[in-house]
Amino acid sequence: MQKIMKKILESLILPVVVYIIFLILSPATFSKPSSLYIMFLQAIIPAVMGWGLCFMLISGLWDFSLGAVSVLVGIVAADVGLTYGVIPMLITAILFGIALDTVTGIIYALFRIPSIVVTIAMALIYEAVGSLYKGGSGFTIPRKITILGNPPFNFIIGICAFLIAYMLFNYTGFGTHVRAIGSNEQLVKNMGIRPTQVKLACFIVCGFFVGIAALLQLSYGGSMIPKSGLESMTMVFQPIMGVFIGLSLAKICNIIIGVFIGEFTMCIISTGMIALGLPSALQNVVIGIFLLVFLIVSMNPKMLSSLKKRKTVPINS
Amino acid sequence: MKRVRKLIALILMCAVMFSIVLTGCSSVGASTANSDMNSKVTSAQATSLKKFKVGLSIWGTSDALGKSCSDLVKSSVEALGGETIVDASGLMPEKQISSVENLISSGCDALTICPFSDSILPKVSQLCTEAKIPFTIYFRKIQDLAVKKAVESSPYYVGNCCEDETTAGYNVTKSLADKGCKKILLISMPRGDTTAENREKGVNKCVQETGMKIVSECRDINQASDATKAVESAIAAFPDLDGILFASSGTFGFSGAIQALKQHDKVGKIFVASIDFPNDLQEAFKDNTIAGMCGGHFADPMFTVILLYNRLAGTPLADKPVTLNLPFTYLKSAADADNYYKYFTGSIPLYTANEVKQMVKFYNKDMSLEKLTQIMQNYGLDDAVKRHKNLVK
Repeated sequence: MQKIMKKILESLILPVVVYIIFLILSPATFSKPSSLYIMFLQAIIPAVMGWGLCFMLISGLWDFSLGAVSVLVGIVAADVGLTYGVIPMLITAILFGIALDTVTGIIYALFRIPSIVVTIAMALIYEAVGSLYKGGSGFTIPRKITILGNPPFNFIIGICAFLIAYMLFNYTGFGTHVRAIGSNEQLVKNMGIRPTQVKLACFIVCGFFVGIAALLQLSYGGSMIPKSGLESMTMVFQPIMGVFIGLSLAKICNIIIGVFIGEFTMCIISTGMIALGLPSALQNVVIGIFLLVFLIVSMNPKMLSSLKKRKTVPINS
Repeated sequence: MKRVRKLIALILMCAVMFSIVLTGCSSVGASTANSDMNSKVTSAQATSLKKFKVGLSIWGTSDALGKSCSDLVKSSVEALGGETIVDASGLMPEKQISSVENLISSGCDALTICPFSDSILPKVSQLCTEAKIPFTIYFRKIQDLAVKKAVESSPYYVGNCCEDETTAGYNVTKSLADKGCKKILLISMPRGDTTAENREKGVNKCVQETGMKIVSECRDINQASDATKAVESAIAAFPDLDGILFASSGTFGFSGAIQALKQHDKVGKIFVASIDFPNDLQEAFKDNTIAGMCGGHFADPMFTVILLYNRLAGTPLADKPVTLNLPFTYLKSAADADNYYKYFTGSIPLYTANEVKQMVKFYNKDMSLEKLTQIMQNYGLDDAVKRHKNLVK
């Protein structure tokens, strides 16, 4: 029990420390529970996308088409939602997300092209399809069908997505295979598991989560417009940053929880910088520095401990 | 099996290239509304002018402003018997240079561009001069004197059309001040964009004059959900926030901001002002969320195309480069918004085929630079309603 408590506390150190820093710098904003609530809700969308992405990253795959898939799914789901309502919109988003990422996965598995190349190429295609879909001007949905992007529904969907990700990763053969591929792909091959099939399944699972994230994003903002020239790739960066933090926290907590902690921390930072009135260019600098420092610290524990030792060793020795 | 794989890989590559070409450069077909208008013009006139290809280099055609710009240019060029090649290149300097190169290699006889900043114009001018094709600039004026001198020295530079962005920035900010706003969130483009910077000059001037404060700014809006998030964060950070100002990005960010206001029960407590009209203004007007709205300037590239067409037809409106000014349209009520969507972006083009032809000297001998300027000075909601009240149902 003590071990579990210790692990929980350790994994919460990062967001708590970041929160305390901003609480000191901007007490008016960070002392209110409502601010914390907003940051928590804002972390849901990147976290859902991040859960999909972490299956990919762990198995050694990159997916830069997530943003384009999210935009295209959002556009088609909005169109369906306008005609048929919320439930068909939800189903469309999930199925279409799975379908698009399955196509990407099949191309990857069939031609064995590096995932970065395949996903960038597919991002271009998905963006193009979005730009051509029904005139290419995107869709704005009325408020009555945006309920899924607002509490309590976004919270419920977020919890469901978390449970699915957690179960898939920890309690299924697929999750075991993903973790095994991440550790040693050659060994997995020798065990008779076909990594290509597992990786294809990663694309499908990722598509499921991106479909949910696209639905939440559409319902949260109320509209979705197509993107072109790989502009959609910028949508991948926040989820990726959260996953990086989650991967580093994986030593002390489950990665699925780690990803949410990572996304939540990023939301605290962005709200904190707004509260401090930092110009947007400087905000990006702060995020970049934070991520670098965090990864340097978490990825190089030996370097840090050797630095500590150097400090404690007496000079005359 | 290897052969099949290679074949499929080839097909995929072609699909990728096709998708790039499809979104980047799209040639234009006929629009039904315009075909009806064309019937009023004699066929002898329509065939007497060569079919020119006009290139439109634009940041994108998926947002409300970009789509309206490209639709109007397409319908106008079509009315003049020409063809439009649209290249949606984003607002990145290097992409815009590639866009000009692409349009030239696509066989355009003339092109118009909305440059990211003055810095790319010497290169654009060089490319057009080498290709011997006339070019114009829309939504921008050249501010750097050295660049202006260099560009204007090209015999192929025909002129530019722009709006008074600084005054627009001032006016929409003033509308927030008039509503009693003190602390505002500024949403705009990344730094370096000439138009956004000019608007922000007006914003800053008004902020200083009225004692308002920009408590936060956001410059990376890609989707409505980004605006929702920015507004939510600003509400969390500044509980006394009472104004949101879209100096840019309002076309797609507006609905996201409204979504956040409704979610946090801030409708009527936080006011929104925007330059560039989004698609869903009526409800926001009814909710009393809007402090000021200015935009509707999407006819700007069409007027630069008119300059080009007069030049291509051998009847230039001026011997030297000209600067045209288009006034912004201000919307004050839901009825104004209704009229805007009906008369500006409805099924009938803002300028019908007949009206467009009358702006080209080849078809209308009385046309002159002064008359074109007069048409532009009249530009606005009242003018559109007056011209088309019998056409629009």
